[in-house]
Amino acid sequence: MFKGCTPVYGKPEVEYDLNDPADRDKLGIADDGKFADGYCHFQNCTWMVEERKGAYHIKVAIEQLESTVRQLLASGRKVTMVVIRMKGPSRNELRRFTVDKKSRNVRLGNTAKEIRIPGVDSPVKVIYENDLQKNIEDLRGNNWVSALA
Amino acid sequence: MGLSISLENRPNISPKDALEAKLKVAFQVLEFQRKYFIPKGIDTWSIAPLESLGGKVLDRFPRDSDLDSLRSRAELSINAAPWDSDILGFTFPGDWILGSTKLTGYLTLHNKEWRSTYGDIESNIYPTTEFSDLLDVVRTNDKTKEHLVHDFLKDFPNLVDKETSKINRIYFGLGTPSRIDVDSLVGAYYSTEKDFIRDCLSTVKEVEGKPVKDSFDPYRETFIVNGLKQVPHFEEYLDELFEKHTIKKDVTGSVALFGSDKDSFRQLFDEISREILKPIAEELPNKDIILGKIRDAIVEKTTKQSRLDKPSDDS
Repeated sequence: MFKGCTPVYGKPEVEYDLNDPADRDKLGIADDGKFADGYCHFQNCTWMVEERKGAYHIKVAIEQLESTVRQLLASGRKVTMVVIRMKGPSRNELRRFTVDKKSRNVRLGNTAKEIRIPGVDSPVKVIYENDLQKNIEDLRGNNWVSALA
Repeated sequence: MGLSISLENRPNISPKDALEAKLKVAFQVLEFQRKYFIPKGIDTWSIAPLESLGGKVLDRFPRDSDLDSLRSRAELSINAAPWDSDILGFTFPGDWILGSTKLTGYLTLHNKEWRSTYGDIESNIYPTTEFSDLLDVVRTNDKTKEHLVHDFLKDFPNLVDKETSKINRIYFGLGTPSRIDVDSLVGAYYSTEKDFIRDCLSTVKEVEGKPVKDSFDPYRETFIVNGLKQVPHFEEYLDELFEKHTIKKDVTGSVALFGSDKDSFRQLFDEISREILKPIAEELPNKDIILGKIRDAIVEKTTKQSRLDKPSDDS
């Protein structure tokens, strides 16, 4: 059960639970099953779309993020960050996707190319439940580095 | 992943013929699942199934559940660019209707590049807050479980036209089950029992890490698997393990395995790993020992040779 966006940059100021039909209606997101779990805004101006995965499946998570972001951007909303939060990596998908330990960016294993959802500058990030606090700190640290650059 | 099907590679076949044969199997899956999965169109893509992964949607035909018209649309896409058959893939979005539960899902036919991760044919739901995987829903109803898991694994491989395609493996499992995830399966079909042992071997190398991997690496999997099959009573021992871990085995030349409990395969794999594969890994001369022997043999030989070649003081 989705219980709010991961507090990557503190508690979100604005939050939509995309599993709630009323919130989806507000944002104009279709009820086609291909939607992410949350959309929220943090004090540092980040607009984040988050997908949580009970079962391992990065490809399906990316598909849900892609579909949600496309609809949000089409209705004039902002998205600056996309995150997949899952239990841990699956052995099989780890051969296809790699996750950078520091930036948490997910890459296509065979090309080392970062995966980006069309319309979002920042690459897709993956954080794991079993190392959540550290992964959140990595995301924050990484953001400070890019802000200072 | 729910369901993942891998077909045998056929040598000397054109990419177009290979894709058409694979498409035929995909439609047979759709026929088999018809009572439960209603396709609502077909997307033809190239390179990868998603734009974010470098893919491109070539055609989107969103409105038909009639299998004949979907088939014609797919054939049209193949014939439009037969030289691209290696990179083409298809996704059939649709609705799973399982009892009173209706969920959005898909069946995807992967291309040559993506089959190594998700199999040739993959089918599942889009997760909801209630169900994270097709298997979660199937488990809630004995009748659907019987048809979609048990009957599918037992009967489907025999429905496929062996002239054009042969099923190699079918996995039912949570997430993205594969040959290195035996411990996460709930059901599986193998064209031979050796393939099941081979998958256990691939999984143990991943699970146990470097020491076990280094022990098995110098040896071909076929060599180890054939060695095990030659051990007297090995098959009986394996059958006892299936029974002990409540895994039902159906043999019709091939093997279909069904776990009664969520953890049946995990427990079976743990025991095979602990009792068979890890002891073998400990006994086998590993990579370093073999390399040491190679080095010693050559050093000894070259040292002897240099002694013989060296002119003596008397000459």
